[in-house]
Amino acid sequence: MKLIIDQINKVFENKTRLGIMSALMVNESVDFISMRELLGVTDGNLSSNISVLEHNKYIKVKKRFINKKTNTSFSITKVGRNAFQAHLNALEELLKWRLK
Amino acid sequence: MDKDRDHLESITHIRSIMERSTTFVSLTGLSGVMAGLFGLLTFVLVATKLGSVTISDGIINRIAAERDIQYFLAVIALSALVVTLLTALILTVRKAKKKGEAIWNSVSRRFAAHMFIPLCAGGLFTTALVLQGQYQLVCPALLLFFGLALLNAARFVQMDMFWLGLVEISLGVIAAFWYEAGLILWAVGFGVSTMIYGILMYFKYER
Repeated sequence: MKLIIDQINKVFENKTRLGIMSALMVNESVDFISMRELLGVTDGNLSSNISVLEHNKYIKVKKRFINKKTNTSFSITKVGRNAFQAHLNALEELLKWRLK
Repeated sequence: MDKDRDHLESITHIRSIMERSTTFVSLTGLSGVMAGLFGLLTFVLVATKLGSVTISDGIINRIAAERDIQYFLAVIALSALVVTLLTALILTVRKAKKKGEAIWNSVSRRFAAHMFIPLCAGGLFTTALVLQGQYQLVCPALLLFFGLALLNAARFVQMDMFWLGLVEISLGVIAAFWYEAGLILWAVGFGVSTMIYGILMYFKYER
């Protein structure tokens, strides 16, 4: 049991961060505005949670200029993908164990 | 116990985000119904002009010989295309606004690319067929490319579109071998099937 709890990733115990990772698992990249609309969060909330994920090297942030406007897009890293997969496995194991 | 509920909620949230970030939800079944209606209307206009619902060799020779029929068919085809696309666009924008969703996001962009690249290829190919006088292959080509476009774009909407695509492709293949029935098969594909699909989608996902 201890082992499973260790695998539950604290970084993902936040709805916004969980949402960001979920979206990036199934999309090559998602831009800032699409992400904000998808999750229904404020700019500030999104930015701060993006920073946390970026700090953990789970996602990559790419800034480009399109028509003189900044366009920020996010994509998942190998580390992020593995971490999220491990988190999902842990959730699955935990629920299985609780249902026994 | 509370922890369990949190974990379960996490899983529901993950699933919902994964689904919503990859599907274009603002497309409405009503677009399919309207497209089907315009398809049937086109069929009626064309059949009336040709005076026949089957494409006999006589009809093909007449189309080849009479400029008037060629222009009529070209105008009807283009108008049907424009009216159908405009209606679909208006209905989609309306639904997106109602749901407070962005119309031009990464999913709708990918949906549009996967849908319109095969459609444009089909349009150009059909134009080439017309210019080379291969009139009997026009209906099958339209059905085939429409079916391929639906098949290709289905994963951004719902898998039901995949089945509609298969229906169109089957009709296209039949029409290629049995070109006399091309116009009727076209009406079944672009009119009846599309309309049934639209009605089913409307009741399945929008009621």
